[in-house]
Amino acid sequence: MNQTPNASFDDEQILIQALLAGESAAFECLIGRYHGRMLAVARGIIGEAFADEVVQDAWLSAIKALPEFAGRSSLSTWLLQITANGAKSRLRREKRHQSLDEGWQLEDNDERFDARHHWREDVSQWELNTPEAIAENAELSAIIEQAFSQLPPMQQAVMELYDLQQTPMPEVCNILEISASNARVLLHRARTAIQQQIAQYQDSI
Amino acid sequence: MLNCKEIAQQASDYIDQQYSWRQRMAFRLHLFICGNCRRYISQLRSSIESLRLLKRRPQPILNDHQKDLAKLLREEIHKR
Repeated sequence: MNQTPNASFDDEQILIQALLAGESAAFECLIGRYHGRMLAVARGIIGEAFADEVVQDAWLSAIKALPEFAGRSSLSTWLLQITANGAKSRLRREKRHQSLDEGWQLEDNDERFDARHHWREDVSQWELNTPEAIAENAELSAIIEQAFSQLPPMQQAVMELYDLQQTPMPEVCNILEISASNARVLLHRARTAIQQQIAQYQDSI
Repeated sequence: MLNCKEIAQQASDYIDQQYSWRQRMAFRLHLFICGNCRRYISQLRSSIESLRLLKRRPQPILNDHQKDLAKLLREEIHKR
């Protein structure tokens, strides 16, 4: 219970030193901060079934390699790269050779538009129309969190890396081994899904 | 001239500034005359930003599995 948020851990160097010194608060901070992101990436690559195991292994490799972590990238990028590599080699081992790069072509049956490609219904002005107002609404926040957690794994992984971690697109493609056009379609689908959930809530208030 | 469906499908590319000047102008021309698409683009931006805000909040207290993991990793460091 004593997960005292230690502000000095915001500095990665301080966090790393505390980890190497074996401070328990540092380990809890590390896991609290990165475990969810690593799971999102692992699920995107290998699916729900093996994701936990892959992330557990990634943590162990990362901790072993930590003394050699030179800080050439951020801790986040480094951990996600280790996770992605582990997930990819696990995928090869499982011989589940379906390509990660399939099944993303744009569907053309978008219900939101009529035959003339106009909006079927007007896009209404949102009552809560700033990101701050949206995030402050507890009910809506829960809806958004849920919508994000229920995105198809690959969409979630791309959105986690690009929108939340602000990883540059070429690196996202490299981590997930997908093409740029695939990544962009997955990203847009994920964003659309979140927007639609928020719109649904806003229409109901 | 782009239609609403094309605007919606390409909205992320526009937001992320993937477009050439010419494509941007075509996009803006449509937004200039279409309130629905203007609202849609702004909502998409707000959606991304609000998710960012939510995910930036301090992490909830670790669950038991994560606490065990933290302990395990700490022991690994001590093994060195």
